[in-house]
Amino acid sequence: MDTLEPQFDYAPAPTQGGPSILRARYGMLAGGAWSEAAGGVFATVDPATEKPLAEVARASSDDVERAVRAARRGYEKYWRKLRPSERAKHLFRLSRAVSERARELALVQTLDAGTPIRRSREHDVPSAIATLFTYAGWADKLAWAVRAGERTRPLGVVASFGSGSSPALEAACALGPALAAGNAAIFVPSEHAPLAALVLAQAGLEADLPPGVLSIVTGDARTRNAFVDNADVDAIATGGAREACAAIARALAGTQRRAVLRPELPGIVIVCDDAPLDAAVEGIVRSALLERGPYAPDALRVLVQESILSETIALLHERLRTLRIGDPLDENSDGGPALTDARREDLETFVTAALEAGATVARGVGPLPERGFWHVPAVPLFGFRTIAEALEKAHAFGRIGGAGIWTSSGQGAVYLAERLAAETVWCNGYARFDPTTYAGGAAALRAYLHT
Amino acid sequence: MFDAAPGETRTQRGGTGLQPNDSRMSGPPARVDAVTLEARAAALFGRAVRGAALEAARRLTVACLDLTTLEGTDTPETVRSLCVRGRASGVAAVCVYPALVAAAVESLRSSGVRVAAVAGAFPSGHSTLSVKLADLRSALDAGADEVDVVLDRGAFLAGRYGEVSAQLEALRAESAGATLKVIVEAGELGSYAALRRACDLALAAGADFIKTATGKIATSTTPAIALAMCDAIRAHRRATGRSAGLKLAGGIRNARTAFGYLAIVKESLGDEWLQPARLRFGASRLLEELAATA
Repeated sequence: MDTLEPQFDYAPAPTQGGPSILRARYGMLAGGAWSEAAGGVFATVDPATEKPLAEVARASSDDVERAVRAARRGYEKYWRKLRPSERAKHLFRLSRAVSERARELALVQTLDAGTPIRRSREHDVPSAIATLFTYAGWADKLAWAVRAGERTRPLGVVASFGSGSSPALEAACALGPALAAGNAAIFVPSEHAPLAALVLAQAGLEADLPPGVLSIVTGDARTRNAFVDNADVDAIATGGAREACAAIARALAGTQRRAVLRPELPGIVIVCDDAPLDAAVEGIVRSALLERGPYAPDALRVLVQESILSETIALLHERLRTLRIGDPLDENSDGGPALTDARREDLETFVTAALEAGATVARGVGPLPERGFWHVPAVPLFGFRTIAEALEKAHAFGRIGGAGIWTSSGQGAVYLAERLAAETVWCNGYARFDPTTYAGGAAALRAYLHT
Repeated sequence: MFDAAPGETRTQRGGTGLQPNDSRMSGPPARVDAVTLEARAAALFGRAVRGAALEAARRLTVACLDLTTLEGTDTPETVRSLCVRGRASGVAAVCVYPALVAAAVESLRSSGVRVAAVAGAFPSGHSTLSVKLADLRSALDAGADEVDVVLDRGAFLAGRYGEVSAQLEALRAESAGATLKVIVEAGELGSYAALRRACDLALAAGADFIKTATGKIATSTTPAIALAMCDAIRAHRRATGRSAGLKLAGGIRNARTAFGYLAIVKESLGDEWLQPARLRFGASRLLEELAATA
């Protein structure tokens, strides 16, 4: 009985479908119809292999002009005139059309952005659909999303830019509130992962939204600049790097146009000495490597109380050895590649910098595929001795986006949550969003309304 | 820890509930987060086992199987026929009541298949220590290689942890040389924290295996229960260097379920646990199911 049995390992388990689901060439959706772009095309690549996946329209400033005119017409002629309850019906239809394409959407996001298929299928796409569904319900209840006596007038034509992290979800989070607030919405996906938004565009056509109300315009930085420069766009919404947000704020300063900015703030994880340790280690791995959420992907600071630091590092090393980094299409992959080579480098630079700043780095193991934007998973950990020191270190770089606190003390969690300058704090968790909560849903509507 | 937080003292957070004179466990009981535990367990349980992995998983499951019959209607004949099947398939052990150990020992002589017996006032554990010890002794005297004893939930849930430990240590001493499996009956413990504590007590008392369930109540084994027990085994190894095994029993009726647990053990404890010396499945009907999927 003491003889070792043959080892059991998972065989490759690729998802049905694969790249054959893609079209060779994608246009842009403007004015309720697909069209080519005068600016030509660009190739979007699979970050797992660096192979080109499809050609996508590159919208020039003329294409942008045309899309904005169509959106303006859609807004003035149809969307603005519809009763809010009719707008709600359209948006419910949109969420249903997207859910009918859920499988395709998950697969396309995985191919184009490298998100592991299970994450796409079980988290990102269901969350995207839930987001559209929730905002559809808000469309005729806007008076409850603002303070008593405030107005609920839409802004007009809103253009939103994607950053490429969770492309399906970020498109839904951009379109849902803008459309529910009564605006015509144009979404410009990241040029590194534009295809998921184009699946949403197809769903928009199938939902029979009035022409021009929902547009998906693909392109690069020049395309986005054309929107920023177009005075007929009433609002520009974007997340992403702080510098990019600041540039948009500057461009729109002094105009009547609105900037809806959600700059990527750093995330923080604080593990206290009374934390459920196995769960905390799992939480660190997820926050740092797998489920980063909308926070700056290369700036998660993990702080661990010194009395449990060495044990945490030992556990983390063990856990990282079993982490399955590989083919995003494989059902058993936990982690995929970075979206671009530049982001891969950013992650590596971040780890190097943390090491120089005195962090202990827990690393996973290779080997990694030769092609593609892969990197060995690595998590830098910083120690702290007292809660006061943890708060000081957490705020060393200013405001925080999301904070995950790991402790068994409810009182301790509240104590930290009250003192952290963070947008959202989770106790024994991180970056778990729900569009039906105020912070996750209704709060965003105000940004798209003249109150 | 939260030294700046008002109104909180060390004892409020760190109270262990152990008897003051109880030196078996030091420090506060291990903490468990149910949300993270259940999410990770579900993800691992859902691993895709396909293609070539299926055959390896099937062979490993058979090799780790404790082919079990624990019915009031069991007879030496039904046990013998079970042993014939177990022997032919190459399972790890056949598990029976103490009175039927002799029949199993005879059928399995020089087969490499071990004989396991349930003992210690199985399944409730409600009896005196002397009865439990006599129960165990009778199984060993009849030739059992392994004994599956139940943790005394009556004492455990009343907070008499010292008594639970003392019982387990006595059973451990009585079964020296044999493989001791301690059944914690997770479904009766009420929380993952209590489950973890029960596992820690059993491991500290020297159990060779900790086992999820008796199979006699509705809630027996779930992915999260299995993962919580893997975490306890890993922590025990970190603290003592000793590698205890895990036995999953109760409600494991088909191949898919067994393979889900293989994934949990593989990824939380590691490949070294994928062998009969450290992993067992207790089941009565699983063997036929595995044969049907081969």
